[in-house]
Parts: sequence; structure tokens; C-alpha cells
Amino acid sequence: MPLTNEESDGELDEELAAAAPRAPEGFAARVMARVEGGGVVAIAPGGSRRSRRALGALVATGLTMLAAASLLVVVHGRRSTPVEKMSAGKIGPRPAPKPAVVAPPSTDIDLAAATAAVKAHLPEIIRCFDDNSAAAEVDNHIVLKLLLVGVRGSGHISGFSIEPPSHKPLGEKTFACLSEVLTRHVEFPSPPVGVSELLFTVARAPADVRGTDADAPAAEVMVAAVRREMPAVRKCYEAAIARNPALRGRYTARIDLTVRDGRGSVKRATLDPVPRDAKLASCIVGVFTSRLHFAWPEDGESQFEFPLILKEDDAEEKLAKSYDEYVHGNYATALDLATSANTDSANPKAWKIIGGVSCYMKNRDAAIEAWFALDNQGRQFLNYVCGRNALVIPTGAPIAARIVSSAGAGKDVTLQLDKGALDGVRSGYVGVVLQGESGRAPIAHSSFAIVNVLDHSATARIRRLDLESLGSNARVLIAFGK
Amino acid sequence: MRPLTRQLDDVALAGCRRGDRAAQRALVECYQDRVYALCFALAGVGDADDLAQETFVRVFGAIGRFDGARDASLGAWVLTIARRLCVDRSRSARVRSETAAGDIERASSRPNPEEELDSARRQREIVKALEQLPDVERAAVALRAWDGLDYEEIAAIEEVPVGTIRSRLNRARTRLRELLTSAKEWRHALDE
Repeated sequence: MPLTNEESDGELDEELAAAAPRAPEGFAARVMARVEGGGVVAIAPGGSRRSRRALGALVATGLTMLAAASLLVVVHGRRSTPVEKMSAGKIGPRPAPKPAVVAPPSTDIDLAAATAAVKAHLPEIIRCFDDNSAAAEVDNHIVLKLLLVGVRGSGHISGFSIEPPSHKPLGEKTFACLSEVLTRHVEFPSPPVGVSELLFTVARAPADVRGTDADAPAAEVMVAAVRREMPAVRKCYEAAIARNPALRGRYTARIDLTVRDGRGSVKRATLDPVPRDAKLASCIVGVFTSRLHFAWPEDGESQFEFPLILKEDDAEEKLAKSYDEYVHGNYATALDLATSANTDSANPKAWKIIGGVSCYMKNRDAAIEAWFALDNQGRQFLNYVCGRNALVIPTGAPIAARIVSSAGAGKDVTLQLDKGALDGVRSGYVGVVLQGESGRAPIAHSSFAIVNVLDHSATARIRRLDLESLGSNARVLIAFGK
Repeated sequence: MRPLTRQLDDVALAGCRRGDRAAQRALVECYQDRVYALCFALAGVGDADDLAQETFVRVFGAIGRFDGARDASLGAWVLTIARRLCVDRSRSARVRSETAAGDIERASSRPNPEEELDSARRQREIVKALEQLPDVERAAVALRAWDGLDYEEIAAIEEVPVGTIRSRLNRARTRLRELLTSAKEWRHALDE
């Protein structure tokens, strides 16, 4: 019997629900293997601008902290009770070995053997990164997707790619070097014929931890715990730069950890050197001692240290973070960052983000200001983004005019403009006031609507303006924006 | 419909924020089917597993930013990440793998082989019909019928007004009915 529109949605929905695919068996285990960082190995040195940026996105706005310690917190252990359970850089014995691969369920290649074969060539892989400015290319970790092929009992890597595919491509030299090492040097036993994939994570460690037990599980736990508290540390720093805007510093944070009944906490924390701003020092130490908690199966004590860098981001770093926040849907944070990066109101990248975010946040006035600040290409971008969000912003070519006079302040500022109907200005059009007599960037909160038009002049109204008054002769831009 | 009744409790969510592995696993198990279904609908069986895995990796990377007061629900938030990943993947690869409709048969575990065959056939038809829909409509159907989200939640994920979701679902349902009716008639004709 045919389905018709008159039938309830229920029947169709039930049929659809019955066809719902489910995650394959073992899916959760494979995800956890990935989350736990199977196959993670450390590359030194770290501290690239990109790695700082990547971490900054986790830390949140405005600051770069822990920049050098992009991956690992672990350095050296101070043995304490119970002594036999402690070792450098980790607490207690390691849990069961973590699978180093995330593999499709049906494979006939021994992935453990393949992983071991890749690991055997790690020094060469690391050299590919070290020798080819990988610092600029690699975040704090990079995932290589290796295509494994086995023929007549001999397995090799026939190709590789970066995961996810949206990751910035590697440089030519790095790629060529990796290609040489992976496809020519790595061999492993295989069945007569086999094809499989192996995800292999290469992680970056700071120079400080070169030579230590970099993939100790406690390091991951501690990194996660410290990163989690970075917003609180950021607040400490923000309060400090309010007292002293020039405040910068690189410190080594040392924390003494104790684990009791599976619950880890910080007994003591210090910063070296001790910051001159005592409030900053006590605030950061307080964050670590009172808030830093983690779970660990073995009781014991240990000490960890990591670099902590306090500095404000430059405009480019802020924009990079802003973009990260934007694409992740954190619009308010993205807007704050882009606005703070747009100090001279002349940064097109910042305006693009401000405009795009404003479209998503349905802030029409801000989107209009951004639209007028951008070039044609940028305006098209904004029209697309705002269009997707059902927000009407100007279109077409703007009409330039000047203010003849203005009246009012704060709310309901009225402007008399020197262009009118004969110049193409129409009632309902929108515009912005530009900074200065020859300025190009819009004044904040200066968007207006044309309320009355005569042949050679027009009246406009600004709903809210932060300036006390607007000088006559200031430039304005007007466009169709109903 | 598979409603979002099984939500992760606050304790497990807090555990995920602390990086607790057991809690993270609980989250994966709680949402894996919904995420996988969405990825399956948008990227096909070839990429669904990979995208669903990547979704959870990103979820754990960003879970500190999840705000229960601001974001609609954890489930919708997780699915938003999955949706964006699928969009990114399709943009970068421009590949929509063919859906191996037979692959979803593994989900069925009916004792009666005849029923099982019939059900599998119907599932295949539905998946084939879904493939005929544009991406945005397929996403709306998957989020509604497979993930059990309400219109507002779908609108938030798709970043469009609720009315748009209504019309997308209406269009999709109409088209699905046509396709499924046609498939049914063909099947009956062949069976006879």
C-alpha cells in the first residue's frame, strides 16, 4: 500500500528509525584507544608559534601559557613514599599497554607488528620534522594515516596522509622526507596478501623534556588536569595585567603531587622565579593547590614541573585564536578576540571575523559596521554568512557622503547628510560613520538608518553612539540595507 | 524514533571534564549510535566510522567549553560537532562514498530469517532513498528520525531558523514517501 501524505509522520518515522544504523561493534574501544593516545611518541623540541596557538585555543582568550609545554608536563620524579612505586615522570606502574592503533575491525595485517616497525624508524621520522621546520607545521600532535600493504609475506607502507584531511598540509620537504622514511624503510611481516590502515600519532614535547619518559601515562593525565585549570590561571594573569599592563614572564611551575585512594591532588606548588606581583603568585599557586585534581589508580607522591609563560598575544595570535573559536561556534569569545586584535580598526581579517560572528549572533548593527569596513570580496562573504542566518545587511555598492550637521548624543543622534535622492539615497538605507575626515574604518556603534530623503540631502538616525558628538564633514557610507 | 532519553548524568560529565577515562567511555557509549547514524547519513558507510571517532576525540578536546546552561543539551552539542566534521570532510574531500546499504544489516538480530531478510531489504530501500536527498535534508532527517532531536535543536545545529527545518523535513518526507512507495511497489511486483 502506498504511503501518502495523509498518513501520519509516525509510520515513516518508525520505518526510518528501524533503519537507523548503529555504531559498529568495538567502536567505543577504538575511540578510547585514540583518546588515550595510542602510539604517541614525543618529538622535541617544541614551543613553536603554532603549538602555542593550538594550546592557546584550549587556554582561552588573550594569553599564551604553558607555551613550551604543549604536550607534556612530566619532567623528573622525586622519589618518595612508596618509593618502589614511583619513577621519573610517572606515578605508579603503567596500566595495561594501550593499543597503538585504531584499525578497522577486519584486517589481516598484524597492526602491532606494523606499529613496532614504524616506531623503529622514529629517529628518522623525528629528523624529518626537526630538519624541515616542522615547528611551523605541526600542532602539539599530528596523526599520520598509513596505508599498509602486504604482498608475499612482506608488509610495507604504500602511502600516508595527515588526519584529519582538513589539517594544514605538511611542507614539501617534510612530506618528501616522511615519504622516503615511511614508504621505503619501514617493513614488517604480513600475510601473503593484506591491506589495512594504521593511525599513528606523533606528538610534540617541549625541549625541556627531551630524553625523559615522554609517553608516561601520568603525563597525559597531568597535562589534561593543568589545561583544565588554565582559564583560572588566565584570570589571575588578567587581574595582574590590570595592575601592571607590562607584566610578562616565563616561570617554571613545580607541583608536588600526592595520590590517595585513587584521587590525586597538589600538596604544594611554586613558581620559579617567584613573580614580583605577590598577588599573581598566590593566585596561580592557589589555583594549582586548590583546584587541580585528577584520578590515578596507584597511591604515591611525585613532583612535576612545566614552563608557564605569561604574555599577551599579538594581533595575529589573537586572530588565529579568534578564528578557532569562531569555527567551533564560540562566537562571544571569537568576537572579543577579534575586536581586541582590531586595535586600529583597519584589520580586514578581524573585520571578517567580527562580521561573521555578528551574523551568527544576529547583531545586525555590528554586522553592518563590518560590512562597510570590508572590501567587495569581504562584503560578499558577509552577505553569504548573514544570509544563511536570515540577517539582512547591506548589498550593492556603498554611496559615500559627508555629515553636514549632527544633533543629539548617546541615543538618537540625528545626522544631516549631503547626499539625497538624486544621488541614489533612499529612505531605509543604512550606513556608518567613518573615523575622521578621511577615515575608512567605521566608528563603533555608528550604524544609522536613513529616515528622510530630499533631493540633495538626507536625514539619518543613529540609535546609540558612544561618542559625545560627531564632527561635521565626517565621511559616511550608505547602502541599500532593508 | 530514538529519543534522546539516555543522557549522560552530571557526574559522568564532570568526570569527562576531569579526563576520567571511565566517564569518557560512558559518554562514547551513550552517544555513539546517534553520532554514527548522523555520520552514516552524511558521509556514507565508508567514512562514518572514522568521522564518528574523530567526533569523540574533538568532543573530549572541547568538553571544557560545553556549558550546560548555554548549550541546549550535551547530545545536541556532540551532534553539532559531528555535523561540522561531516561538512568539513565533504568540503575537503568532495567525496560522498556510496552507502553500502547492506552494511546496516548487521544491526538486525531478528530470529526469523524471513523477517530478517524482509527487514534488511526495507532498510536498504530506506538508505537508498535517503541517498537521493540533498545533504541538508538528509541531515535533518537523520537528526530527527535517528537522533531524536526536536526542531529547535536541529535548527541550532544547522544554524537555520526552525521554519527552515520544518520545510526541509516536509520536503524530505514527501520525497521519501515517493521513493519508498515506488520501491515498495517494485518489490511487490517482483515478488509476485
